[in-house]
Amino acid sequence: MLAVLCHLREPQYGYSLRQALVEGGMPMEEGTLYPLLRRLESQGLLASEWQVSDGPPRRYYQLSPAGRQLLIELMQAWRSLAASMDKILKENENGSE
Amino acid sequence: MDPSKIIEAYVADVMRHLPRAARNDIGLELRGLLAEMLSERTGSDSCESEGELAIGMLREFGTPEETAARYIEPAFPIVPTHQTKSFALLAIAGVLVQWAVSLPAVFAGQPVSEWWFGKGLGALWWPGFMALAALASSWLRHKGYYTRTWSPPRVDHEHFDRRILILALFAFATGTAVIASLPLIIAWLPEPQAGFFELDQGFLLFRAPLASILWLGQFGLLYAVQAADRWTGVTRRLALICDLLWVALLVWWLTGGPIFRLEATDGFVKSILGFVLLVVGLSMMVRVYRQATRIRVPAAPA
Repeated sequence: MLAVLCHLREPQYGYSLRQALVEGGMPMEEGTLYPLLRRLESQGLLASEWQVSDGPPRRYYQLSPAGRQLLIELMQAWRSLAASMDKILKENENGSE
Repeated sequence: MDPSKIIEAYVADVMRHLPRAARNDIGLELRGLLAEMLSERTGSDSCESEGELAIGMLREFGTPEETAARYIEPAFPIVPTHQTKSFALLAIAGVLVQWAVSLPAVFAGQPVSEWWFGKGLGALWWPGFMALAALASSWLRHKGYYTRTWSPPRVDHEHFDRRILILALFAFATGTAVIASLPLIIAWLPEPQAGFFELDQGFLLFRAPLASILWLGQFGLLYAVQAADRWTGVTRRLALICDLLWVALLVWWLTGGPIFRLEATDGFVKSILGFVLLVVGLSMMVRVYRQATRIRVPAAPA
């Protein structure tokens, strides 16, 4: 979810978001990604709008203010968790040597 | 086959399983997604026709029901996960008990079809009632009308509540007085009421007095617990034996001949006693279960 929110600082439609996730090394199945986007939108974390100007109609998603706030909190939580895990793994490596 | 028509048919099938308000929105988005997925595949794989590719891709994507389910918010559970097993067991046990009570009539000559379309199928009211009660309870929890907070029942589990002794004394005195004075009460009643409650002599002389002995035993046990101010392993086991004796006595009362001379009164009182038997049996099961779920320190290895 964090990866999805990170990519939605700028407007993206589902398929382009999936491509961005694949390129970032976080592939996600379409069948999981699209319902997730709708759920985040229903929770008020994303805003969306249809664009039909060029090509087939596409729904573009973007972070809402609440989504931006949540992204900041999730990033902090993730960094803290990653730092803790890193510390544990380093201690474990030193102990096993 | 035209791949766009295959996708269109698939999306229409998904939409049928979605809430009406969200159908069009999701359908439009899903159609766009599938079209883009297909164009990606046709670009990388030219061995198969587009129609075959579309069918293969949609089969990988999941059945329309599965795809629709991904879009639907999970509903609140009717029976909480931790209660599923006991719910199923209680539902089955309730039906089996009713069948066990009504089936002897079939062995006594009642046609099976008459039993099945009467009390046989009628016993299914119980799981239906349980499901409705669970649904109501689940809805109340979901709406936030009913929340449970845990609070410790007693800090000392072995401590004896003196109010139980007073209740036991009251039950013992009332029960014994009722049994002892029944013949007098009946003699005092005018006809025809006296005939309704005339007790069977065999019951009055042999089976009824045992209840007073059991009440006395239970009262003595509770008095001993009160004197020690706590339950011990021995007193708990003795209480369980008392309950078992009650079950045996009630079974004897129900099966060992008439209690009242009048058949209608006898049947009515025995149905009440059957209910009492059920309550005593359930209370025993609960007590055994609670004792089994206590934390025990494992024995130290020899």
